[in-house]
Amino acid sequence: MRIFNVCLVDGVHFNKEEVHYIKQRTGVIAPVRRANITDRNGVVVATNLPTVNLFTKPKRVSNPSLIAKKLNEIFPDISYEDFLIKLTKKSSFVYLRRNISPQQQAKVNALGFPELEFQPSEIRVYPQKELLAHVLGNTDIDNVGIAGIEKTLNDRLTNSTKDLRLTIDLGIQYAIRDELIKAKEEYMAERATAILMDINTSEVVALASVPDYDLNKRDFKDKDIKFNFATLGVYEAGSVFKVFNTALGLDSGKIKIHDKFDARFPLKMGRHKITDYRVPPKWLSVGETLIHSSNIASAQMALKVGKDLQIKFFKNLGFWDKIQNLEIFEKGKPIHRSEKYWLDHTVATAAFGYGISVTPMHIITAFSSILNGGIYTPPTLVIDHSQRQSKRVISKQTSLDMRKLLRDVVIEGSGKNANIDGYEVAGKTGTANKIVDGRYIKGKNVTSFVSAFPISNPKYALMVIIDDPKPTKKTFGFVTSGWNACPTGGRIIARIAPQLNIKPNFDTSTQREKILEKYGIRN
Amino acid sequence: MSNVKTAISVLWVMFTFVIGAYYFVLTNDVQNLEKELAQINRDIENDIRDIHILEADWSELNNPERLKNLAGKYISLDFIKPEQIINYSVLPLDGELFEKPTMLAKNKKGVRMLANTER
Repeated sequence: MRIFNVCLVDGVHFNKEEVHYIKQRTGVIAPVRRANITDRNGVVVATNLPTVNLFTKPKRVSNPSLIAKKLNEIFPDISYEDFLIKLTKKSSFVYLRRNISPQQQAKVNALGFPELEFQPSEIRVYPQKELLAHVLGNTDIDNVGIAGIEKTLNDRLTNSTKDLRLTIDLGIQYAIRDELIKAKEEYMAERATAILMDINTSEVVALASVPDYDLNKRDFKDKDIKFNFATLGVYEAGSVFKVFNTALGLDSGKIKIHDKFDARFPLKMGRHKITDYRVPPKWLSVGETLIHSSNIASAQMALKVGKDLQIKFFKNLGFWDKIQNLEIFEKGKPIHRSEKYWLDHTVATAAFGYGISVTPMHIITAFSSILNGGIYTPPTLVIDHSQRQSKRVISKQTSLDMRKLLRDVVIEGSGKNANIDGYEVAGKTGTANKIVDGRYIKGKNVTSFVSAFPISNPKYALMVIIDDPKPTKKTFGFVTSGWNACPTGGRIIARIAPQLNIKPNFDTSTQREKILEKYGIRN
Repeated sequence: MSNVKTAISVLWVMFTFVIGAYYFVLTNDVQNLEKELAQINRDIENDIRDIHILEADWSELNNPERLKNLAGKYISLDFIKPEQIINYSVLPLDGELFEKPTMLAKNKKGVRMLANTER
């Protein structure tokens, strides 16, 4: 029999399943069809798990009402009527329920209906639930990316089974999200967002925006929680732009660090007046302009530098277009006037962050380039991203000057609440009127704090944005950035800096005295 | 002559038989190996699926919030504060610990903590 089978039957016959295995063996098909995504330390944040789809061929179904009743008992979330419609459909194939659990499969098997068949399938799961919601995005029921990295890198994730390693550090991401949740609650804000970036490589180490959502629930209805403010939220950042304005002034050579600007009176620009908020009316140096966050002095600086250089600089910093190369689908396009209509008053208002709207990702990337020695590198969320090209945007000397100026803002200016002892924080606050339906809404603000630490040798840049914070007793009724975004930034830095292995730079003699005093060795 | 023909025929028959037997053994082996390979591939696929499940499970177990809650519950660990990270040179020398014996006696507990914990 064996001789007959082997010698006379034509060759070796493989069933469908075996052909599938052979294709796997030759690399045509992978056993799991979508690659894992991991954080920078290799912790899996998205993976595929095997499941089973329940299907039938309606033409073969003999007793649809009985089957529908029994299935409804196993799957109470699908009504009897729905099952009945599916079972009596005039089609050759219909899914009754996709991605069922092994327990449900066993129950269906136990019903003993031969019409009910199973098909092996896979489901995308996100073990960290909401932690990376806005970064990862999601897949649809057919495992095709529909948002975030899942969408942008859909081909990469389906063509290779090699894990995709992100630049995100899960521990840091958790710490930042945790602080954002607290801040959102404390300031009764609509939204809180933060980005942590490696200042030298522009790798995004954490990106969180709350409210967020559990990726496994696949609830696509609430668009508000799906909104990734960090990369999609285009807004006027306010005084944060004074960083770029000052850097441009110094780098152009048209402003010297000891130049002074008259901030005693409002600056008239046609029909409009540029005023200051709680700034001493006097001549201000470049440093004082940043410390007191003077709109008047900043506008004068910008006017001195001029339209052409300002536009060229903003283009260099990436403010003119969507963020290039970032592996996330949701990217906001900056809003600004065209070059033709970029008139003097736009030059003046852009100096303090009005008249140009960009995303937080634009700002933190540009900010990193200002403080890292002057090199702009496009941001990335994927380790080993090779297609990024860095360019110089300011000189090293200007960058060093900016470090000193921004450190002073945190020591003496509006950034005081982020002055974390030992971590040499440098940064700039920004408060801007919120625009709703194209109009500024009085009393509603978006506050920002952009910072770098430790400034003597900057390693990380952090940006915190609080959308519509409310005044509280603790903030003495203020809603400006120094009272909400800034302290939130400080708390985040104090919490993550030890995790990031950054050694605090204390004055050792003071610290020594403190320790001796604490333990009673000194009086 | 007919003997030669017979001998050649016998040789041909024998040759055909040997070739046939060899073909049978070879095909049989190949089929067995293919089946074995299919089984191995099936096992590999099952293993890969199991690994995916375990990786997902491991990732969930390593959820930072869960770890934080467990650490708080069982080992009372909290976040490191910047002032807890100090340079070795900041610590008092042994001589300093004993330079004021009366004070040392007063603050025995503090010194012991310093000596045991911070070093």
